[in-house]
Amino acid sequence: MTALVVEDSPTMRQLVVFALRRIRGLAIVEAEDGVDALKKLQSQTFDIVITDINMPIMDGLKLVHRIRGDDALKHIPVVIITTEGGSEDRARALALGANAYITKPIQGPHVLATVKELLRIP
Amino acid sequence: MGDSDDLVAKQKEFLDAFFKKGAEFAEELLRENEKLRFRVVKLEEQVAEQARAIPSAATLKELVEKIHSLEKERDTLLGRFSEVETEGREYAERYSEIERENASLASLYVATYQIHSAHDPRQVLRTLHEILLNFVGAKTFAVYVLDDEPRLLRPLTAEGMDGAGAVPLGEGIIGRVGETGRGYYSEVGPAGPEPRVCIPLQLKERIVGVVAIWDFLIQKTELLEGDFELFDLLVAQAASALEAACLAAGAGGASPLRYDTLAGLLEPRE
Repeated sequence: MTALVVEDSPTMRQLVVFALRRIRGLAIVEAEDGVDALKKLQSQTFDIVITDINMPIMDGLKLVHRIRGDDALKHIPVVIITTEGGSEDRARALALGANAYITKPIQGPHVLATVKELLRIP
Repeated sequence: MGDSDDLVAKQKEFLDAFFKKGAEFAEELLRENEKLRFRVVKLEEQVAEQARAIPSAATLKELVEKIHSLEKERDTLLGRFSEVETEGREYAERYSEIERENASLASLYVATYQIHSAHDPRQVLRTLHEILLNFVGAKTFAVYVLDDEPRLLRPLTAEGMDGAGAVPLGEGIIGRVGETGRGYYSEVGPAGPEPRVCIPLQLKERIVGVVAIWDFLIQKTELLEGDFELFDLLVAQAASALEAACLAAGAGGASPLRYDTLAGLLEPRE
């Protein structure tokens, strides 16, 4: 299984990668923004995408939109990470096709549990 | 004569019928008797069988003891089950605690690694900014650096606010933290004029700046143990990372960590 972590902040990206390393056998690929993520999505197979919303060049919401509009990618579960904690923001992200929504400050165990649930790892 | 013959015949007929009835009745009685005997035998057999089924007093005592023993065993097992259940709950709690500690250590590691891998002051401040926003959940904050003359804490970077002003040392929470080096922490709540959290940035004992947080993200409802650990880390590490980045920037981007510099510094002093 392979996960794609999309985040422009190296600090935040490293923290998410650290949390995901607890899943045995999960390979992790990193991308700095939506465009970088799309390139990687087209060149290899991923089982899950974890993306920040606020990023330069292409933000997380546009990335989710592009993933859901692509027949080859639309089945991939997407987790959105954002600073916005309001219920409307959550509803908007989920309506766009995100499978889960995690708010900052992120907690490693929460990221781990969300990804495990979507990948159906006990 | 004819009448007496007739009478005798009638008597005979009567007696024949009488004896025949008597014989039939006797036969019926014998059959009934047979049936009753048979039933008596059957009943005796049943009684004997039931008598065999009823345990003796000794067997009864043994059975009662067995019941008591089984009840004791059941109670022991229930007690053990409850103990195992408690142990399981304790293990689950311990596991969650270890997971939290692990996550906290990961945050500390990432924060330390990132803040010290920055090579210019702008990058250090950006990392500090990211740590405050993404790891702590701060929404409105500013980083002040001490200007020795005229003893003012001047804002270097701010988030979520329009230009923080300079603060004289000793004035308000920010000034007092800058003067004493003692961090200030209050509960997460609505933003006010004074910061909710204020920590010094230190180079060993020397206070070189302050980080002040006025407001947190809406979903951040309380300060956790991991937040205080991160604050402690920033108190001790942010200033030295900033100083190292300043030295590197002062060396024109070239690393000041060079053989000749180090060798000169390592030479014994007279």
